[in-house]
Amino acid sequence: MDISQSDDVVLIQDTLAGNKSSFAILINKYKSKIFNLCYRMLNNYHDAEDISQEAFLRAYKKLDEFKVSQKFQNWLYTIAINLCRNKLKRDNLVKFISIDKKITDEDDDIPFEIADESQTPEKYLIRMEEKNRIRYLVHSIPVKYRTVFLLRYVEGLSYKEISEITGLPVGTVETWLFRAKKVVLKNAEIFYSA
Amino acid sequence: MDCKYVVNLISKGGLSPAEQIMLNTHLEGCRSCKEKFLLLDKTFSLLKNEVILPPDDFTDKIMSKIEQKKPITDGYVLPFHSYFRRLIPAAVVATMVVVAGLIFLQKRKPSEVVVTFNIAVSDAQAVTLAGDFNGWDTESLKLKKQNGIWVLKLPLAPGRYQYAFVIDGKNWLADPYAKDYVDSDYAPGAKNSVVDTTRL
Repeated sequence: MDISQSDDVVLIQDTLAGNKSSFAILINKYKSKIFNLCYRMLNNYHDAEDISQEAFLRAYKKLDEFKVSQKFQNWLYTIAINLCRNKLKRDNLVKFISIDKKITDEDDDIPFEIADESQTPEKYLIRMEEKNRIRYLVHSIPVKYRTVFLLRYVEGLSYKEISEITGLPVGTVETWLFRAKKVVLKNAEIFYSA
Repeated sequence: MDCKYVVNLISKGGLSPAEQIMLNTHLEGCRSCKEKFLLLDKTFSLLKNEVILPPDDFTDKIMSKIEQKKPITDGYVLPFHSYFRRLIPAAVVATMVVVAGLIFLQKRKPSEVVVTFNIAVSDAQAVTLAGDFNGWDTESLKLKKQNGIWVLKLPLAPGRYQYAFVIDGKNWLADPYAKDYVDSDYAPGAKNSVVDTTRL
């Protein structure tokens, strides 16, 4: 166990003993990572705020279930990712999809949609600056692939860690990363086909 | 080598030296593939370097929820949902009609926004509003019945608040026309309504 992890365990034990302020320390330590991941998943600041706060609240409530053999950070990622997926599923049930282009993954029943639906993809994207192009490309990755993609390329986690967090076999993680990158490359064609 | 194959190579992790050479050769001669490759590369860089930070009060908000007294959780009621039937006595179900839920915006001081909370509920003796803004106190914010609709105008500092209506001090009702809902921490399956003063 590295130093950071043993610090976390001490803080967790302290929290469980009734010292809530130790949990505040844990929040401060991991809030940027969790918030950033949620933002990249949801592409919406307010949603990211709600969901990442909810992730910490859930973690607090389930703190006695946390196993010391896990990394607290990765446990938080698991909670946050599940909440993001649920949020995206819920949103898709009520949202009116106003764009023509809808990219669905054959294995996943959550259709992708662009966060800003106010304009048709072709007209809007060509004028997009690079940062927004990249955000669009990331958001164009189907949800389940996006998860592994972000854990790998934002959080820099190993295949093994991603496998533990998502519950997927390592081979599947590799495959989904491959597919995520292919989706990005395919959608990048939009910027170059005009 | 065709571009379709190159896309597979670019997407693969861990290329062999031979594959690497094939890829580089192709990219040197193919502008379109090169641009895609660079874009993927930039995507990784941006994701690593651009960290979106949470708001300053992030930790405080969570800790205040943790410190909060839990609201009454029995009898969480949601209109239009099956929970509705499960939690309310049948007689009340038959007569309860939820109609309104409009929220109107009126500006008072620059720093405050008056939000109007409406709900139509028949056969209620008292309706109160409980939420983040009053520590989920189920008694202090009383709605007034006007022409069959229960109304309360509440000045709020700009922000985003969770709330619910409390009927006769015991049944909780979500606002059917709230723009957003979040899962309630305290009653599984129930939802709190959300009002955002900047998005009325």
